[in-house]
Amino acid sequence: MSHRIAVESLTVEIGNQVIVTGVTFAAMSGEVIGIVGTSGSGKSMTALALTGLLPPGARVSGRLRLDHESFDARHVSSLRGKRIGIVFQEPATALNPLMKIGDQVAESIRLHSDPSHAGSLATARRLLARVGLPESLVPADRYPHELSGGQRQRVAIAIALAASPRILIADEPTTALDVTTQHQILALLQEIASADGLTVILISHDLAIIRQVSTQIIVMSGGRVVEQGLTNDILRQPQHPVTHELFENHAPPIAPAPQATGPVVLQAQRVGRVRHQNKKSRKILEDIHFRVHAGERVGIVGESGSGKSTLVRILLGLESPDSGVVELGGQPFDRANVARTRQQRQLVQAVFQDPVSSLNPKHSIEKIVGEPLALLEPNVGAAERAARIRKSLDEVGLGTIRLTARPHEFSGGQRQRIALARALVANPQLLVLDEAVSALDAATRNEILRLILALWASRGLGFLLVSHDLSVIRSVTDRICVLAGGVIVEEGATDAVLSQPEHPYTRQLVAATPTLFPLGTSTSRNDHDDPV
Amino acid sequence: MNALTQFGRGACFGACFLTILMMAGVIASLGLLDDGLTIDISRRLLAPSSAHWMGTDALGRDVLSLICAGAASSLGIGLLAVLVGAAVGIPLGLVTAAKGGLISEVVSRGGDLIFAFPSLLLAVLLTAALGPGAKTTVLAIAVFNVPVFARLVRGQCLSLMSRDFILAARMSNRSTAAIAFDHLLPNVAGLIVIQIALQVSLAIVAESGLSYVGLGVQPPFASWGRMLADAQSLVSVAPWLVAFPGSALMLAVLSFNLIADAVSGRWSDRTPRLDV
Repeated sequence: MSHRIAVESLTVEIGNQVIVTGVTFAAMSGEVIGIVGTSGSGKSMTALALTGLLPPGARVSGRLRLDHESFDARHVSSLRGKRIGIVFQEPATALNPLMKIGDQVAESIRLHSDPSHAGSLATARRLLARVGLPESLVPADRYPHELSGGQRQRVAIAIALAASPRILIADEPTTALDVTTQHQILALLQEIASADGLTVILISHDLAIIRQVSTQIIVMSGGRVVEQGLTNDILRQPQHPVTHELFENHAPPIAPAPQATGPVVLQAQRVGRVRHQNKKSRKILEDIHFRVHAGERVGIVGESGSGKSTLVRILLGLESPDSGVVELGGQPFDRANVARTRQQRQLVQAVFQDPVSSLNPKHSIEKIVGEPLALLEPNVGAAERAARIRKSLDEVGLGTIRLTARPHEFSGGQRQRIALARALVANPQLLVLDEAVSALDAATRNEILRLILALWASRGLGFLLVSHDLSVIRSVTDRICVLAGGVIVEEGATDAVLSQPEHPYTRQLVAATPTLFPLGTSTSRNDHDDPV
Repeated sequence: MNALTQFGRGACFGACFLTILMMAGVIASLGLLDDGLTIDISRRLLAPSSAHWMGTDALGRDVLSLICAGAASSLGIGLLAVLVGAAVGIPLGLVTAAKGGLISEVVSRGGDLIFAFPSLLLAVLLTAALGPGAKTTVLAIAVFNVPVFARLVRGQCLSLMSRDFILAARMSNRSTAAIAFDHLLPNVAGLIVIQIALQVSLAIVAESGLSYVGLGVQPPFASWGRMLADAQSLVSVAPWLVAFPGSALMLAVLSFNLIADAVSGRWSDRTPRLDV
């Protein structure tokens, strides 16, 4: 039994800090091996070390065996491209925006094997077809901006395969993609591994993704391998506390049973939105009927491009619909009526996705959290203002922070808490969480979700959670709206909709959601692997 | 941490040189150098000596005194023109970015119009209309600085407008003006400082250029550009008449550029780094 690749005591030091210590593993051709860990666990550094792409000044030791040949880990950069292909996280930046996709693949082929122009282009076409972009569907003379995220990631995979490497390293290749696209890309990687006999090293923070395709799992923490073994063994009997933690954090907290809800707070009637581009008009949203009651927990799920961000902005009164009405607190939005708009804004507040961009870097925490107090008229006095800001920060578990601190002093999870404190300070009735936990790692995500559930339980604060993550929606909401192509395709009690999805799109979404434990409801995995 | 290590030698040199120039300008404008500035044909075209460190010009004026007096007009006009331009351009850039729509288009196209206009031609037109002098020079240079600042601020703020903290501010019903000045301005302040330093150096050159062709500061007020123009025919006879004002101009421009460099270095240091 010969191993295709074996890594022996790989160690990386940067400065005087040891980033990765003694990583050792072996994999065979046709196998997908998964490296999993939280951010800072050393998993990405391991990938960079194996491709010779470490930052300057990093010191590497260890050995890499490839098909009976042995290399010093310091010299692996000569193998990059030819023997080892790489796919990165962000398909948007991995491609040259000014070059046709066929030329980009052909360029790699010319560099490594076939220097002729016509020959390399023909091979490029074949490779693009191999990764699910056949000439008939996506011609090789397209530019990257004409492609979707998933298609771009396929091009990146084709480039990585250009020199027929024996190993493909994929570092979080699906993190920037939608859940259904993610599913397709993972299937492609698995298929390439088994059909072409490549060894795929898949790196992810998400145990469910790794589990889905890999035969072996390596769990990393603090630069060390804390557990490694066959996927099934690890899933059945995780040994190390870190692995246990990954398991526990994977599942979002379970919400307490729903309570009776109050009157309608937010209501959308026949809302439509059209986008005009290049003299063509495209319907972004069509005939949306939607309402949220006081104290209700509602989820909106949909992929990027489904119109959910536009819908959220319209519901928040930040954009006007082209047709239909949005009523907040029983009255339609009217920008001209400043006093009424102020009252309406006080009813609903929002937490946005990106913890970095949602706080003004130049403002103090006090100023950030206190901003919505401008909504409470007559003016809030200085003493009351300070008391409210403190109380709000207390509620999100940041009671002891310095009010003069700036956002950059805090971690992503803390920033999102600060954003939550800002949303709470003016005592809203409804909280809109626009992908508010999507950018956080699982442990932090769960902390924030517990906090939101506690607020719901203690003061009956309803929330509208917009997410592409079905597992989160499933565990904390009572009612769900599925948005696809600008239309609500399915709506109902969360459990009912997700256990017996009726619309094909909902079914696809449920099936594509990676899970650690098979859901009784999950339909067959391979019924929607269409390439584009 | 002392200023030298914090900002680097170049910027310290720049700051020192500009301080000296400004002090010289103040001394000159207080009338303390009038002795050297009076015309005295008997001492014309003297080479640098212990009595006249930088020599004298064709009218017998002391070149060092002239440079000091010229510093007042060069730095004064340069700074004032840029500050006037920034004071108009920055609010325009902020508000057009925050508001968008038609106003934004009109202001941007207006800026394009000014950019498309040959600057010297506009200066000539302004001089023809208002008569030459320091005020006209300030106005002519300021007009060209307005779109520079408006465009810089608008471009930077447009990308800030897509940040979520702007959405949060709108959720708090903050007005467009409050968003512009409270949220956007602090985030572009550093860039503005850098641009001011660069624009002042350009403005000093522009002032010298206008004075050189006779459209800027008028006699009896001294100006480096005018000194260079006067010295043109005497280069072979009295090279110090070109060397000293030319060096003063060059060093002043260099100083502003060094300071701008140091500020921009510090500015980019503050952007978050990649975590390992």
